[in-house]
Amino acid sequence: MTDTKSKKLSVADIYSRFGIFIILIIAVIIASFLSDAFLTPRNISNIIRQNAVVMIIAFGSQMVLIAGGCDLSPGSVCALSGVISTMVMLQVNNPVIALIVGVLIGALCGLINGLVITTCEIPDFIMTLASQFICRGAVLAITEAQPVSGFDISFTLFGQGYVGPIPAPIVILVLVLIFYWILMNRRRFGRYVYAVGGNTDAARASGINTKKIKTQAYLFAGAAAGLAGVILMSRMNSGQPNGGEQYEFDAITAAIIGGTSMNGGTGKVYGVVVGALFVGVLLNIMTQMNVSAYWQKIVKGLIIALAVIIDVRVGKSKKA
Amino acid sequence: MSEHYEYILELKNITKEFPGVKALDGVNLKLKPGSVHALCGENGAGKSTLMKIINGIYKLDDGEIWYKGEKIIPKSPKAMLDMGIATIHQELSPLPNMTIAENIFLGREPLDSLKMVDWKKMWADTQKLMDEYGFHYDPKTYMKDLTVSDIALIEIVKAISREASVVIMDEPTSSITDSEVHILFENIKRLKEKGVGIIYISHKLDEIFEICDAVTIFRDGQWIHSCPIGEIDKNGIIKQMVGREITEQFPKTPAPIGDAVLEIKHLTGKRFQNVDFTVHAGEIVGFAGLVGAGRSELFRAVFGLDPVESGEIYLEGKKVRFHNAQQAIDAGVLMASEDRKREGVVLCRSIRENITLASLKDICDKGFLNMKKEKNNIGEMIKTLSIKLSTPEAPVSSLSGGNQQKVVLAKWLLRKPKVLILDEPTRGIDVGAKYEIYKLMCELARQGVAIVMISSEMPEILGMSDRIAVMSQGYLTGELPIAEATQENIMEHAMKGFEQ
Repeated sequence: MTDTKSKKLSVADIYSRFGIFIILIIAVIIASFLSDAFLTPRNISNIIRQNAVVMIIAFGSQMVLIAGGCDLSPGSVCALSGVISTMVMLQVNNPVIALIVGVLIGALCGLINGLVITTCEIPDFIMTLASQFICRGAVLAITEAQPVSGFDISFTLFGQGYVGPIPAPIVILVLVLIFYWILMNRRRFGRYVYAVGGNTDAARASGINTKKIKTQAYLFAGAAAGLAGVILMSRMNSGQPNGGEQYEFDAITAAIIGGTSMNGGTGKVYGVVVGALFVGVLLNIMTQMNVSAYWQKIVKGLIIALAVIIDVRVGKSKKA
Repeated sequence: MSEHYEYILELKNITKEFPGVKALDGVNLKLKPGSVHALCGENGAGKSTLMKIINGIYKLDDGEIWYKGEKIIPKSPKAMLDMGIATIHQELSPLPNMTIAENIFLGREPLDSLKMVDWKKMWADTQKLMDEYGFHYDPKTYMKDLTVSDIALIEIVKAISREASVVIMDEPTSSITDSEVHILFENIKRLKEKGVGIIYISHKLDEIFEICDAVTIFRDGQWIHSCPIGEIDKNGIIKQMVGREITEQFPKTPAPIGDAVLEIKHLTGKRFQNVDFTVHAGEIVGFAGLVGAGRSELFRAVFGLDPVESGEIYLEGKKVRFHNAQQAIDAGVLMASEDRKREGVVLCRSIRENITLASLKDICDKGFLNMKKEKNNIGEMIKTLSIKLSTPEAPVSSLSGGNQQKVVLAKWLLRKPKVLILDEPTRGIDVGAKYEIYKLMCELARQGVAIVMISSEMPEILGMSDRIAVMSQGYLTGELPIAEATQENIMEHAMKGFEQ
């Protein structure tokens, strides 16, 4: 738990803040009864590691959702940044430079998304759909759809390495989470993101540069996707131009299940972590129970619909 | 048509209550067939509410409506249209991506034998209507290609083409040009000859005397006076509209008035023309006028939300021009919008976040928010304004209107205003909260803040201002020291532009 404050809350508030957390705990308890292999440190660590990439993307997707937007591009941005990062690795043989370049490429994509959306005033959905195609096309074009490989093994540190006993992706995930939480809860920027998404007109009338804030949210989302791309390619030990496909939907799913509203203005940082873990736990236990991947997809779809129905209900009861 | 009834529409003792307000209190109106009946009253007198009752949008709480000698209960706008009561709303609602013909026949498109829309008939019928009423439009023109005034005329054709027996017109000339007013009046005369009864709502007294046969005056939701138009003059109508006794108490205490803080010179924008105006420290200036006079637009432009076309603004003697709200706020010019929910508060966020939204810089330590400082500031504001809440963490949407307004004021007080512009500061607020907001205004004036209060409530204008400015149709038409101001002379200035 990242939020340490305790306050008086209404029932609707309690649900929107802790509901998914309670459901996650129930899911974990049920899963540990269904399978003895579930509640082992190794399996839990696996779940987090497997979901680290999507979770990092989801931080960005959530910030954009809170700012009143919607980002459909991070899956492709993740592939583009990751692959370019592996190409840089081939050239300079320095994993740190490769990492930085990957994050910067992602940030650039996000910046372009944000600038076009705010200056040309086109729908977020359209612009980020366009960049989804453009980035995927670009990564396939520069690699001619062939994986990038043959770089030094040191690059696999981000995806396969360990810091002490803890897998590197989890360490990176926690660092990004802390950074993201501070950004949203202890910096002016976070307040502005919530205000812009909650009521753009009121935010503008309160002296907030709403376009700048929204662009910055997209910039963050892009950088997060870039970082996720580097970790993904590092884990696979090759630059896969088809990597990260549909990750944007997994990320949005995690945010929504974690209580982020599609209307902007609401959503807790820890919610996205809990949402992603919930999906991760569910898929993990289904795999252990030999449920086919097709059925897993159906279940995932049902959960999204259910989460949004609950979100709408809670929203209504709050208004009443 | 046999004339077995004297009045085509008769309203008896109509009462409508909204939570906390009696919008209409036992009003009457008698409309003869083949006549035009003017309905006059200030903003909020109950004209629109009555209209919405007649066309079935609101349900009446008490009273009777008689139509063509029968008692009716309006159910829905569609049912009333079918019965023959048509309304032309002031706010036009055309479908921009449809043609003139489609708009006129919306919901009653002619069908052919296969139940498909008979386009040829629709176009031909529209053309016939256009010829009949003397309009030169192609039925296939898209609404989005028309000017506002064209659209207004099309709406009028749409209403009368339904062969209505009663037509209600709400400010029909507010968006059309003089020559088109002429066309409209020609058509109104034609309708009269056909025996149609028309209720004509307008602030333009000249028009009323030109076209109407009778007049009814409302004030504060009550029926005041009805008579044939020949028995009253302009001054008589104004007197009846505003002739209330002011019983409300205001906590106004005069503050010492200092130097000029905000000066506006020849300021022109989209909805206001060549305004010259000064506010001094410690002064509360009331801005009176009818809805749409350009008061909000003027100050939105000063505040940087709308563009200024020409003219100058001086703050404490220095020339300024704010291109966005941020610059205005940083300079100490603050504005609380009339639309609290749209531009005042972020409803889904907490009271705490809303109050400190504009002053987060003050609680920042090296780039990080100091939550303790924030808590202190919030506590101070909640006490000063006596905001009633369970916890500052509750969303603003959980507060009453009055407390939401206090949250907006708290947000601005934390910025230490030099000029505070309050647009309808007490709209939709209960009496207790109103009184507290008035007290706060006096206290701020005493501290030397220059306050502009835009208000459509006459008692508030007279009770709280040191000086009163009146606008009409975008022009500043009068400035009155409080000692000389009366409801009558304010209303005279507010209707000035209309009488040219």
